[in-house]
Amino acid sequence: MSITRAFDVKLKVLPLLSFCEHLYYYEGPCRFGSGEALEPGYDALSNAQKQRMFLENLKASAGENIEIMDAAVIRRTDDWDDHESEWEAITDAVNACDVVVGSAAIASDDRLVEFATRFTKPLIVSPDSFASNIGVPAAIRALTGEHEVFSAWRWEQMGPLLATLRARKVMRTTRVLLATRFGSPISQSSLDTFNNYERITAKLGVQFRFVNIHELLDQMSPALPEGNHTTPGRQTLDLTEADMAEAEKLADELLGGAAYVDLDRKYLLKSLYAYLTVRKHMDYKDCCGFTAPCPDVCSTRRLNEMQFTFCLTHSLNLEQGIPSACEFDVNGVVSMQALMAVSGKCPFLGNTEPLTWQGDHPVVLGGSDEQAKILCERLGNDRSNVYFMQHSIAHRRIKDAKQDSAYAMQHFAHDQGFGATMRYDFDADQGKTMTLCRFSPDGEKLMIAQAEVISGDGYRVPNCAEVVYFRVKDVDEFFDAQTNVGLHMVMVYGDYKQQLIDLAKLMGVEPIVISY
Amino acid sequence: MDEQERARQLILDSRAAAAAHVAAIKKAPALTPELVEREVRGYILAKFHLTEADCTTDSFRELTAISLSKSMRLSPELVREFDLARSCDGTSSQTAKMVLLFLALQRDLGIKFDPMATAEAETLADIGGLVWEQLQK
Repeated sequence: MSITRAFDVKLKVLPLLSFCEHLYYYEGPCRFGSGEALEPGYDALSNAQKQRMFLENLKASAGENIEIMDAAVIRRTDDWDDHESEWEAITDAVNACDVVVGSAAIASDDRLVEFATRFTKPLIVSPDSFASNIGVPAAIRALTGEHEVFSAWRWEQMGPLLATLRARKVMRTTRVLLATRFGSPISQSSLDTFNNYERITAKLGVQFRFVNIHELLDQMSPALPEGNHTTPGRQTLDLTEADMAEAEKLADELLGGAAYVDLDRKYLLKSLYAYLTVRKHMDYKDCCGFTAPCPDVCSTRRLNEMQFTFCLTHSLNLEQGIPSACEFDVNGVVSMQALMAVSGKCPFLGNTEPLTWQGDHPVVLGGSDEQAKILCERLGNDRSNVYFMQHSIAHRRIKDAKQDSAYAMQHFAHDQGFGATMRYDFDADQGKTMTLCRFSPDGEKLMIAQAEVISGDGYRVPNCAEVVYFRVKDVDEFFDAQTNVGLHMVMVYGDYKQQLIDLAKLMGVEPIVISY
Repeated sequence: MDEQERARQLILDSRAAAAAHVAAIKKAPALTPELVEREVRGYILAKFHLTEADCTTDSFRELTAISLSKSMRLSPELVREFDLARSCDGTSSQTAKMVLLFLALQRDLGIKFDPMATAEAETLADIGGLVWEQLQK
C-alpha cells in the first residue's frame, strides 16, 4: 500500500448489460416492430449494437480516474431461462468493481432488481435503459434492506455521478496519521476538530492511525544502538544516512529555486528531518494524511530544543496532493481530502476570520504597511465583506496542481530563526474564484463557500503570517455558517461548489452553502 | 408518376441493385477480399438508397444516419434528435436499420455473423471483411 493520494484513487466501474433474445416470431402488447425485426436472430444483432453504443456512451462520460472495466453480460431468452450460471459468471467482476452501471430494458430489467438482492455494490441504471431507468430504481428502493441505486435519464448526468462516487471512494480509503500528545480527539488549539473518530469513520469511512509525538520526535535523527529514549531496545523508523542525504538534496532544491530566502540552511535541514520522518510513518502506516498538535508539542519545549516546526512538512505534503494540516486539525485534513477529491487541486488552509480594521491597517498577524496599502487600493471605497485566511503552510502548487509557482523560504521563529516555512504570493491572484470548505466537528455538516481573492500579506514575515484576503458575499452569513464548522477553512481555486454539495449529500452530510 | 409510385420504383430499383451485387459474389469464379468488399459496399449503398456522392464518410453508423435523413428528409444531425421513437426495448431507428442490414446480408449470402463483430464494424470495408471471413467458412 503506502501513500495513496486522492489524485491516484480510481473508481472501477463495471458495465452490466442484461439482454433478452426472442426465440420465435410473434408480436403483441410487449413486442412491437415488424418483419425481420420480429424474427429470431434479430435480437442478438440488436443487443450487440446496443452493447457497443452503451459502452461508447459510458466511456465518453467517464472523467479522470474512472476505470471502465470489461462489460459483464447476463442473457436470457423468452423462455425465461434464468440460469444460476449467469450470475456465477459475473460474480468476480462485481466483487472487483466499485460501482455497476446497468443497462436493461423490458424483459431483462428485472435482472437489475435481482442484482440488487444478490450484491451490495451501488448500481446506476443507465440512460439507455429506456423506461427501466425509472421502474428499476423504484423497485430496488422498495426492497427490504439497504440497497444503493442511482438512475440517470441523460448521459450528461453520468460523469458527475461517477465523479462523486469516486470522491466518496477517496474519502473511504483515507487514513490519517495523527501525532498525539494528550488525549487523542482534541488538541489544545483545535477545539473545533472532530470529536469522535468512531463516528467519523462510520459516517465518512475515514480511518485514523496514531503515533505518540515523543516517539515521533525521537525518530527525527539517526537511530541509537540502544534504541530511542521513549522506546529503549526497539527498532524504530529513525532517519537513516540515506534520509539525511535526501534532506540535503531537498534543501539544495528548496533554497536554489526560491525567489526569496530568509532562512538559515541548518534550520531548513531540521524541518526537513521532521518532514522525512513523518513521511516514513505515513508510508509505514499506509496513511495519506497527517496532522500534529502544534501547541501541545510547543509546550513540551522540544520544538524549541530541536529547532523546527511542522509547517514545511505540511507545505511539502500539500503540494504533492497529501492533506496535511496545522494544529491537530483532523477535520481540516479530511476537509482537504474532500476538496482534493472533487477538484484535483492542492489546497491551502488557515485561520479564517472576518477582517477588522484599525484605521487603514487590517488587523492580522504580521500585516505589513506595504500590503495594507495594496489591500486598501484594491478595495477602494468598499471595505465590506472582507475575510482573511492565515497560516504558514502555503506551497508551490496552490495555483496549478501540476506546475510549481514562484515561492519564498521564510523562517518561523522571530528570535532564533528556526522553523522553515514556504511562502506563496497571493497578490498575483486578485480576482480568482475560491472554493472553501470545512466539516463540522461532528461530521454532520459541510460548509461550502465561494469567495474571490483580493490580495495577500505576510510573504516576508516570520511566523504564521502568510495571508490571503478575500471577498465574500455577506460577511455575517459567512461568519454565522462558520460558527457551525470551525476556524480553519480549506480552499482551492476554482468553483467546486456543486461537486462538494453532491459529495456531502452522497455521504449523508448536510451541506451549508454560502454562494458568492 | 406520383409520389407513391416513385417510392415503389425506388424500392424495386434498390432490390434489383442489391440482388445484382449478391449475384456478383455468388457467381464470381474466384472470390477475393477486394471483390467481396466492393460488392458488399455496392449492396449496402443500394439497400440504403445511397449514391457514391452521398458517401461523405466511410463510417457505417454515419452512412446509416445519412440514409435515414434522406428517407426522412431531415439533416443527419437532426436524425439523432428526431430518432426518439424507439421500440419497447429501447432500440433506435438507426440501430434497427443497421441490424436489418446485417440480417439481410446473412439471408442473401447464406452466412451467419458473430453479433459482437457486427457491432464492432466501423466502416463499409469492415463489413466487407466480415462477409469475406464468413464466406471462407
